[in-house]
Amino acid sequence: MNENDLRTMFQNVPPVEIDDRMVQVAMREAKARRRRVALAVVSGAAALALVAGVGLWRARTDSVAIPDPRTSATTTDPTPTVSPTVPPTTTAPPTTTPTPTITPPSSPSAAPSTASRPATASAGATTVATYSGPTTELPASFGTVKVKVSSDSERGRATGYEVLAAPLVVCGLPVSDAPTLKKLTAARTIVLSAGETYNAQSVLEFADSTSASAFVAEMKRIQAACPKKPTLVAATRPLPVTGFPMDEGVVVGSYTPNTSDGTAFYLGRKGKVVVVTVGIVVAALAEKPQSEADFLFTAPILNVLSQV
Amino acid sequence: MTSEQQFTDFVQANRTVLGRTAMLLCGDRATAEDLVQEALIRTFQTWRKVEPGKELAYLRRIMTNLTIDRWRRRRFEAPPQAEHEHRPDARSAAAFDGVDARDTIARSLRALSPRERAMVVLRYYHDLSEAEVARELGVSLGTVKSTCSRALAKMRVEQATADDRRVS
Repeated sequence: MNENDLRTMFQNVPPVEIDDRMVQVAMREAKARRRRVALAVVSGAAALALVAGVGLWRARTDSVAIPDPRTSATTTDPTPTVSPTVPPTTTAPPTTTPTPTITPPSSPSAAPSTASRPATASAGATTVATYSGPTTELPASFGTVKVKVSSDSERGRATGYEVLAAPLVVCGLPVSDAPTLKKLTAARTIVLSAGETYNAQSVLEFADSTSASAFVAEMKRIQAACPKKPTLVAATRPLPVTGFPMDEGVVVGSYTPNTSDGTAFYLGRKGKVVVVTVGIVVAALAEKPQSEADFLFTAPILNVLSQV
Repeated sequence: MTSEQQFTDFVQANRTVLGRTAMLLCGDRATAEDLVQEALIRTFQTWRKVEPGKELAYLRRIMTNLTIDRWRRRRFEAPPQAEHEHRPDARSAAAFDGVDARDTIARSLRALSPRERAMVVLRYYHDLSEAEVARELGVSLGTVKSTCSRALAKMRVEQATADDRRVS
């Protein structure tokens, strides 16, 4: 058998019949396979998107980033529109010195304490603290300030951040003693102080929304049981925050509009983030209608919560 | 002209070559028909991407690859049975001769591995040069030369055995 014989013999092999039906079947099957592949690709992409979406959603619900209060602070100037002729009637925290003296709130039924504490301003970027200390105390970052205010410039007045060297107190009880703080995972406090306002704002992140609710409930309970000064408007009431994206907004504390006396505590919660604001009402603000005063204190809360 | 029409025309024009290639590669009609059908499906799936003028080479490549793949999957199974479809019906001496020749070819090809068979078919049925066979199967030129030589030797042995059997 040589190569030519082989060629000749190959030519004599009867071929397989390929009829039109085979061609039609082939084309139909090829289209079906293409459809199946496309369907598989689309299904795979959809499944992947679903998994990614669920993952993102879980990540969002599991870890809520605490927004930087400075961002919200710059958008809401806590400085009241004060007439220059109205003198302050309480000790307002000064903003003109590099190391200001702050009057921390002592009790909701009392005027702000006159016992001033020295404080040191620290420069540097704000970081979110992860709470790992004793469960009955607030972390070190609670009550400290992150931004140095060097002068009483216009900017300093508008966005004055100062040191809060005392714990927040609700009806004589330091907030740091609240049992519901056990599940606190992060906290950040900043003081907004300008002119005649004093507003210490703490952003607390809890392990879950139930813990956050428990904390708010505890604060409300303490306030409700707290003896009230007859001259003050005792308040545990919903905030005028209709339309804002928050689960709950309450005022805990009391103050009397149109006087210079009072300290107000504002609590706002969204999910597992709680924003606590301690506002010392001073003369100019006290002369404003209650809703307007509320807004000045709650606007920073709402700004923070809207970013949660 | 639609791609379906082009494809149909192409198959019509090359149906003998394709049918015979399948037959030579597989050795039995049923398997060859399956091979052709699968090759046509796969070719039409990518018909628009096939370079014009190289459709036959593309289809031939699919057929050889399918044959080798199938052999790899079934190498541990029972060997294919000899085809009885074209056994002689003893009508005439000429018919006997033709049938004998086809039977010899079928037996000889069955003695080869699918890769050897593919090389022999491409080399001696499609008349491709050794370089073209090497390119089409993705092997070196030396591999084609040695494999073809070995395949021809095997076929010669198989033919001699068949001749002896016929004489005895």
